[in-house]
Amino acid sequence: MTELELVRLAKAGDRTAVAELLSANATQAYRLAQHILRNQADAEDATQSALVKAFTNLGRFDEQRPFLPWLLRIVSHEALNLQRAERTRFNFWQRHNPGVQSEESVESVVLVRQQYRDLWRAMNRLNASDRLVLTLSYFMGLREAEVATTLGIKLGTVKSRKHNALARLRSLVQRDFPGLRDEVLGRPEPDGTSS
Amino acid sequence: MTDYSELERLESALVEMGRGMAYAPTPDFLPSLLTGLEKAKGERPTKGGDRRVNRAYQVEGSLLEVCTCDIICPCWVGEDPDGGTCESALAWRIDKGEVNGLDVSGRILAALIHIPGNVLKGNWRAMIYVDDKTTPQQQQALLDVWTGKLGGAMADLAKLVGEVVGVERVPITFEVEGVQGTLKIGQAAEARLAPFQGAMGQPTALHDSIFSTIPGSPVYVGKASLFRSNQPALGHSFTIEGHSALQGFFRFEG
Repeated sequence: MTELELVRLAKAGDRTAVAELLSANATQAYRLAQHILRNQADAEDATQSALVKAFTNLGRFDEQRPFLPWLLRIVSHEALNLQRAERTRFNFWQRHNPGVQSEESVESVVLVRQQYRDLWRAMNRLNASDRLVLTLSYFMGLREAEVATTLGIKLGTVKSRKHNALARLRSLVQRDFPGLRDEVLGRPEPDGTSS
Repeated sequence: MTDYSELERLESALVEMGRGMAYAPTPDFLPSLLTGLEKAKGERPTKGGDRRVNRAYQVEGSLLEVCTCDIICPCWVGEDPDGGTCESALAWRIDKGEVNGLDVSGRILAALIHIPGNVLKGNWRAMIYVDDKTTPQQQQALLDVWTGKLGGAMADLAKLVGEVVGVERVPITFEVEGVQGTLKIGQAAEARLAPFQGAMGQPTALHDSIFSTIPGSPVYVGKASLFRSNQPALGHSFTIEGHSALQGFFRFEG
């Protein structure tokens, strides 16, 4: 059965179709929420809330468009809203312990190699907007047009945001992660170029 | 000048890293998702076609709590209080919330409590305070929630209270500066408290305890450098240092 057929059945209230659409997309939705929130419980909350919203508003979904970017857009809104709320709540902790949550909350993401742990930590130092565009592009495997739909921005904006986020990530790696810099970017030559 | 080869290497590393990641939602995640959907189906649609949960109240905010028990207050794990009774002061500051459509954001409800024995056996005596900026309508709304009239998690807590000795409107100071909390309830009580911290500097938390004044949320355990309470109706007349303190965040609905 195609995705479009599933969506139409789900819109008509077919519970099997709803369950199938859920199981096909829940992991991707959770993955995005996890990247934004970096906390398993919050990611599950945001995903659940987003999927409930999505499926109770299926009538508004334009069937001519792909389903996943539409769903991920709702997930990112829910996750960012939750993040804002959590940030307000935990403001007084983080003021005195900056970075504790953002850098150390890798426990639910299995990163075997040290290189990836450092890259994850570097990514967590980026702002939410940069992390989101990199996550959608490289971890979720979305095409730029899909990223644009998910974020509700123009294709050209996706390209520039992605480039700028990568450049900022590179600066962080060069400045604060010497091991990662040598391994990923190449060891700097005496004349300042990379090997 | 942009070094595109460096950016390309970084892109490759990100893609490779993404492949190495494993995500593990808890086993009941999908089943609970389906339950959530079933629940949403039964909710009342709003004008915009959106569906909104029909709740009497939804409030969220912060808790400060101190008591006469040693550290950590055994009441939270269902054990008898140190010294036989637990004399406590606690306050819930609502950062955001509505009760039957009435905005109660910014309001504070506090209580001085005498717990005569094991916390779960009830028979508490409580003096309730609302901050002096609370309107009469807001006061009634808050009491409706905290006395359990509107159901939800607070209704379970309210069952433990045997007697409310009074309700007063007083100036309440509820401050958290850095990790230091300060609570002042009119002239009746004052406390200063701070949480313990783990090795990474994060607050030490207690989860899934049998008793909680913020059901559904973890509580951060700490120490009160000062706890003074003077409420004759409860037999409170003491100033102590170095006893149990708790901080946390709550979200109640019913």
